[in-house]
Amino acid sequence: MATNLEFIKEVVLDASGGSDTKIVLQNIFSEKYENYFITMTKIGSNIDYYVWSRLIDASDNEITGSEYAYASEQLKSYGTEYEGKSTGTTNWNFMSWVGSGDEDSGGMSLYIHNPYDANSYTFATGEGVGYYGTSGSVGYKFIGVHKVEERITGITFNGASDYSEFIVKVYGIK
Amino acid sequence: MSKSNKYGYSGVDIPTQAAFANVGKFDPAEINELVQEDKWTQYGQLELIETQSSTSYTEMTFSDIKETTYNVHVLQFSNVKMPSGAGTHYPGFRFSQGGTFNTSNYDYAASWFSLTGSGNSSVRNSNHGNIAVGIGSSHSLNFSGYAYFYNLGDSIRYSYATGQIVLSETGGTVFNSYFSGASPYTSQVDGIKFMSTNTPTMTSGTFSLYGIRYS
Repeated sequence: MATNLEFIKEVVLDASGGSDTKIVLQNIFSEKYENYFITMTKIGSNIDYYVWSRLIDASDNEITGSEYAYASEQLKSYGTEYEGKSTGTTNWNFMSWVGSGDEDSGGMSLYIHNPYDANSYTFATGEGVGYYGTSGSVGYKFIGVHKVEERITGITFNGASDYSEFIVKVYGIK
Repeated sequence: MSKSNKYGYSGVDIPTQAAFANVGKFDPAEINELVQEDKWTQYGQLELIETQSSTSYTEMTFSDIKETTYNVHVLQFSNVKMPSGAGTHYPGFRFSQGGTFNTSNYDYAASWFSLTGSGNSSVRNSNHGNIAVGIGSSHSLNFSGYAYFYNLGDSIRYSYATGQIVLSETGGTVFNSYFSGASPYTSQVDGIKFMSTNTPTMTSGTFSLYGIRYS
């Protein structure tokens, strides 16, 4: 739990602002902080889907190689829970949920650890929740690691083929 | 401000000020003015709204949650104790809308693992009396944890929660539970209540509600 948060950056897509296929946060990590906190709210999507993520390297390229590992438990208020996990894969998956209805938009809280340290893996822990149609809430508890020692400067969030709305805020943990 | 020399500038080209984008040289009065207008850069974005603590209560209510200021709230709770002999405890959160706390139709799921069990177990309900943290126990309980709340001030979205607890109960069993849930109503939430559906008298507990500034 953070004892102090320092606002770094926001990326906002207003409902009237068109659509984006992904959320890109470039140059948000620096030598100033070792740990970061990211909130994601008011997510609007054209489909029901789970949020997945990739990191951005020091050359501003999205890392698409099989360098990620993750585990996530899906907490559904209906049906049975689901465990998603993989290693040597191309993204962090099952991080949160985006719903296609306005009211289905929940939120996500994500911690990123040691991204800017070129001699460390980058780690993530997080949780998120949304709503699936008339079925019920869909929550996630997530851990992830990027298993290459390199400098990470940013992150992308994917999942919807069209994001119609979102608010993403990045904080450094003092 | 009536000064012709503002933020260290004179003439007509006075920079527009905004938090995290302040430009110029500022005297104390200008800083105070910008703070009041929420245009002055201030760090420390985890803002305490209220702390409540009690040794005897049936529920803990926050009625001034500043829902229009924050998109994300954080609640830290510690040393919450519930006695045995009051039936099965289902502690969790209720939201009020228009000053009235909803008593049903909350939806949640939780998963836990313990010192004594193997693997994890889960529980869920789509029409519950609160967004439960995952405990269903008639033992005496002592637990701590946190919860995030999302979109409480949003009138077109449901209100959501995620969080985690660690708990010790009579007999020495220790387990954790992580949970998520929703209140499927779109009106603004103007209050948060921590309670158990059996409303036992709790014998201790400290609750601190924070807002995440600019969230």
